[in-house]
Amino acid sequence: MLDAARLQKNWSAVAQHGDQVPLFFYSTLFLTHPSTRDMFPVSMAHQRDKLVAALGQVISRVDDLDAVVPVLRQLGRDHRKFGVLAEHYPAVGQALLATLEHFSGPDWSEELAHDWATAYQVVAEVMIEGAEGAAEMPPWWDVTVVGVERRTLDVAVLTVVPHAPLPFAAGQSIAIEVPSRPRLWRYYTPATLPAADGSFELHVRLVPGGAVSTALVQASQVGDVLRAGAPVGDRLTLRPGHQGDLLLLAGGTGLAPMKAIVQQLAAEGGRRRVHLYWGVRSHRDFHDFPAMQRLAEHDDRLWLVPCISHERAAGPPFHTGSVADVALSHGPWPDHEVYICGSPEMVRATYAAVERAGTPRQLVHVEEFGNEETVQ
Amino acid sequence: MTDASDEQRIWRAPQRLTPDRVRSMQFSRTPVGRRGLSEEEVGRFLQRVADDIAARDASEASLRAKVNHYKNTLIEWQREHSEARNDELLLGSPPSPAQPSVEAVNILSRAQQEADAYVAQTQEYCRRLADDARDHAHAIITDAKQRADAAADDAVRGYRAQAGDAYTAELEDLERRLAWARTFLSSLETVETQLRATRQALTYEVDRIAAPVPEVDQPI
Ligand SMILES: Cc1cc2nc3c(=O)[nH]c(=O)nc-3n(C[C@H](O)[C@H](O)[C@H](O)COP(=O)(O)OP(=O)(O)OC[C@H]3O[C@@H](n4cnc5c(N)ncnc54)[C@H](O)[C@@H]3O)c2cc1C
Ligand code: HEM
Repeated sequence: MLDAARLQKNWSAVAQHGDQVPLFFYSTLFLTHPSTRDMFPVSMAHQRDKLVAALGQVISRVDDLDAVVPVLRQLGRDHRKFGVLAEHYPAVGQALLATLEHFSGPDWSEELAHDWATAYQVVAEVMIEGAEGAAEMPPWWDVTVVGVERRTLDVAVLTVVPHAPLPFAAGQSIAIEVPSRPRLWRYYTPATLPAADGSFELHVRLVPGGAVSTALVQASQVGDVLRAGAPVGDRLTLRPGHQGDLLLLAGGTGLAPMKAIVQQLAAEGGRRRVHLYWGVRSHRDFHDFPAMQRLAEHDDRLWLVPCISHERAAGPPFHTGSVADVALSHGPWPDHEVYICGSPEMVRATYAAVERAGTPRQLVHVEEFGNEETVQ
Repeated sequence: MTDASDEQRIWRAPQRLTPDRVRSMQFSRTPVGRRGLSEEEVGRFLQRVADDIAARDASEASLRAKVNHYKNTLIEWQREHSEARNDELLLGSPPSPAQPSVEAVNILSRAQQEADAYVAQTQEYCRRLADDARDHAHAIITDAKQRADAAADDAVRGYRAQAGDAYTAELEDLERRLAWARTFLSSLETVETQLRATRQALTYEVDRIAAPVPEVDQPI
């Protein structure tokens, strides 16, 4: 039997060494299996604690594995876009064990080594299974940029067409890799469902100094071919069977999933009413206003409420204040399902306000456009 | 926080500070007009803290490498001098031949840390450029708006002074808007002209750099 508590204890002792742990892990991996270096970006400062922290924490919870099996399967499937094959798993396992041994010092023992190896094996098998279960799906999709519109100082709307069918649900996100920034994958959320030619919109905000968003917003050109990973995430997707009305709260490019959701509801021809509050700082930051207005005009179950937080609104239909303040002052919203999306700060503030107003947790769905989160 | 958040928590990293966490730390801005810390100074300080952490990590790693080295030397010495007894368990077994030495691992780690620092520095530089450009753009627009507001007020005053009995509110509003739009656009045009001049100068520079070097007879 595996002693999960002992693994966890060992892991927290090792984790005390901070950044040195992932550094040692990767250096060992790259020295023993040089070909794996090419799967990772040049700078790994951001990445470093992701993989290793996941390894340590997932594996040391091997006694409760059932809870994370679906996540692991999807993780395994997603690893195909990095070029990871089944034969790479033992290499990572060896590097992990060497790292744990190195940092455990005198605490290391044959039993610990055996337990870690067994636990890693179990997790790796689930991930490999997930990858093999998705074998009929391409590891990634090539998508061609067919439209680039710079709409504000820092937001561009890209239209892309996948070379092979890429089905997704409204509210899901897709990891994108730009040719000029190899090995850097970032999530973006389609703002439309696939059109007849498969094309969909991405709304990208430039994060100053950001590697991928800068390339997408400032350097994208029609004809560029990007790579897209499999669609992931179910936090903002519509729950099957739910029929309640919806309150959608979006900050900036957090509009993207909401626009897709509105489209999906219209396509389903349902009877659910939608109030969409969209907040930005100043008037010129509404990067998709005419299109949203057109949607609202053609749909008598959709109300669009544009909110401005850092300027006085010019008059109707604009409101002054944060999305949360404006929406809650128009409430109450009994039995509405609430969807929140935007920057981490916007999401946190809005969620807190919605919770204070007494909305039951199970009716609130949120997604942050931060860089720290792994989707799923 | 969400229905998926229990699963989410699994991926959370242990919370010891790393150079990268320090570098990407964000502070909220003080409201305009209030006194606060200088963003530049805070940035420089964080940069130093990040470098210090990286340096400390490196020196800890090299200490560990030394310990490891002595340990292995000791194991070897023991093996040579007491073939019969097997005390190895006491000190752990020597690394298998397939494992790279701790020294090699540390050298690669240091190279990686250096690469990380260069990339972070470049990103920071780009961030400041982008911030400056945005501030500049805001300033241009705010300035153009202010000029336009002033011009609109002037136009209204002028209209009232000369309109006399012919005064109508609609005409006044029209005068106001015309003056506003004219001034706003002409302010932006001035900026555009400046930009065009800058771009021409830049293009000239780029052409010069890109142009083939003229053949010159070189004395050998
Ligand atoms: C599920 C999900 C969906 C997303 N959908 C979208 C979308 O539809 N549109 C969109 O524009 N973005 C979206 N994002 C954010 C996007 O994935 C990237 O994080 C963002 O574009 C920055 O990437 P970068 O490579 O440019 O910056 P990086 O090089 O990763 O980061 C550069 C610096 O900026 C900081 N930083 C990174 N991201 C942000 C941020 N979002 N806000 C403030 N500071 C940041 C970092 O800490 C770092 O210091 C989504 C994120 C997630 C997790
Ligand atoms: C039990 C095994 C593994 C676990 C738990 C694991 C976990 C993770 C996690 C959580 C991420 C972050 C994903 C994201 O941000 O979307 C990641 C990224 C990654 N993993 Fe794994 N992984 C495992 C095995 C492997 C193997 C065998 C390889 C191949 C060498 C590998 C290569 C990568 C790469 C290339 C990335 C992306 C790095 C980047 O974006 O900078 N992983 N892994």
